Amino acid sequence: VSFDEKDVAKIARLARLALSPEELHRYAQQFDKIMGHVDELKKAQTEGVPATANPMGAKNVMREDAAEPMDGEAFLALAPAREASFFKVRKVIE
Amino acid sequence: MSALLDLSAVEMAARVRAGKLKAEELTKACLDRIAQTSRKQPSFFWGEESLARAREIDKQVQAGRDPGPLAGVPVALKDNLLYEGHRVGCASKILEGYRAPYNATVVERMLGAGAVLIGRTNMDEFAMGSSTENSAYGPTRNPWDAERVPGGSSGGSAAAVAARMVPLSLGSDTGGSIRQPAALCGIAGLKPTYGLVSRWGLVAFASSLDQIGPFARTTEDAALLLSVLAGWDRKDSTSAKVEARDYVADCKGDLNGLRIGLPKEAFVDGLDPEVAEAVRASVKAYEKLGAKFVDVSLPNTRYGVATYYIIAPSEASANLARFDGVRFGARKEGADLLASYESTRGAGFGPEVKRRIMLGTYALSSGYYDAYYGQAQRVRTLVSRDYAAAFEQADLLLTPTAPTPAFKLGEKADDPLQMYLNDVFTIPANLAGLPGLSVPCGFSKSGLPIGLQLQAPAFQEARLLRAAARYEEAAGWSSRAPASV
Repeated sequence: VSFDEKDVAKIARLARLALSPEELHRYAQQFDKIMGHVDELKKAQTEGVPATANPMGAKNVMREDAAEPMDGEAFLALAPAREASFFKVRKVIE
Repeated sequence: MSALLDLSAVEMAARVRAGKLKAEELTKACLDRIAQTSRKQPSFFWGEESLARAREIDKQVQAGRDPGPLAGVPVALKDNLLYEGHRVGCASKILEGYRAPYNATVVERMLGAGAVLIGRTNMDEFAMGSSTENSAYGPTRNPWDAERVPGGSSGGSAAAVAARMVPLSLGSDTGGSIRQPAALCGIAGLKPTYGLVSRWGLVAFASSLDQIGPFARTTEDAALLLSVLAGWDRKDSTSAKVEARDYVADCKGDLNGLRIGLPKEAFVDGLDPEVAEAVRASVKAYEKLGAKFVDVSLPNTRYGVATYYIIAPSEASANLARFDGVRFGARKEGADLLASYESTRGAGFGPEVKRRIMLGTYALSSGYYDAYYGQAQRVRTLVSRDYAAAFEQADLLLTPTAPTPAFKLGEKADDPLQMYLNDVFTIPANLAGLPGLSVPCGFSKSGLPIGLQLQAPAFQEARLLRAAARYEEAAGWSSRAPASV
């Protein structure tokens, strides 16, 4: 793989990150090097090997679907902007 | 420095419980030591509040009540653990002003055991790094040499224990973030088995790898803290149904007949000669203690770093999506909602965090998922199988913890790949979910600490602690203190 500024800009958009032109340039160079190392993985013989998602092999862990009371105000108080008991954000629908 | 700070945590708690030492006096000694050493170190302490808490512990003792196994012992928290009402920042600008709305389970358990929480310590932002240089607060320095890094990402917690600011601290370990700074700061650091310690209230980085664990000057002190931290928690669905136990008692016993495996992959070119020499000398010391050595091989650990740098960033890219400037933290407004997300995250995250979020986003993006994330998960299975085979021949594995002693500030800051390779010996245990522990095994000619790593099968912490404790006693490295102490 080889990365240019355009590739990085596309990834940054997917990741919701505003980057400066210098950052785009620097990350492109670094990703070349890092992914060059990561590409070693392709050499591993993994045919027929199952994937590990959880190292202890846990599957779905179930519990009662019961609500527990919590102090909503404690969470709302952390918001950068709020109105009454809502988080306030920019308009989503035109 | 007060002589109290040379006591072990086990001894501190015993004296406080017996009414022979005032918790307040102990906390005061730590705060004085902190004031003396931390002028140039970014860390945050709760002075008066900690003293009030210590007085409360003393009152319990006076009233004939037992405060618990950590009675009056000061403990520092890594800046990614939630302590209700207190600032938690993950060393990131994006969490500016954030105060924890609830307690982490580990915090709850330590408070219930009589601990005095004394402050929060510096780290690599969101635990991403191996040097504690990636911090919005500035770097932490190594107590053995102020021009060098303490390791990371839990570098502040390791440095605080090494500098005798606190007897115990907590870190988190995703690819070596407890063991590597323990090695670089000359103390003990334990990453427990995945699931042994609840992560409720730990800010998530890579959820299939993260574990919380203790730092201490001795293995026995680490065991004391682990006894309080360990055990099932219904709030963490990945927590294991294991009984809490007395790990301090597990530190007793001899090593006769213990089989220790030496993975041949750990003694390769590129390993610092002084590190290699110190680790080989520890093999001799273990033989004198009755252990037998066998050669083993973990062939797939050669893919460890590459596997980690797919899995950890992928999980981080999902976990860190929550930092969007809507519900908490700093917000930077843009022209519309999308631009607000982008500018909030672009301004709030530091360079390493952005790098990892993007690596993960790329690895998970359409068309690349199977080649990267899928392949990494399959290699992860191979790494676990390697361990399973090795543990048929050996009870424990011994390797260096880090390939070099502490490096200079700034030395690897511009070369992410070189920085990532610091964790070559520690990453495989996270991939397989196994416990690992670092203890001091010598010093370089220039006086920098070197650590050895022991690894055990899942939930065999007792075996790990016993082997570390016996070596520690025999070798005596842990009693050395930095010149700054």
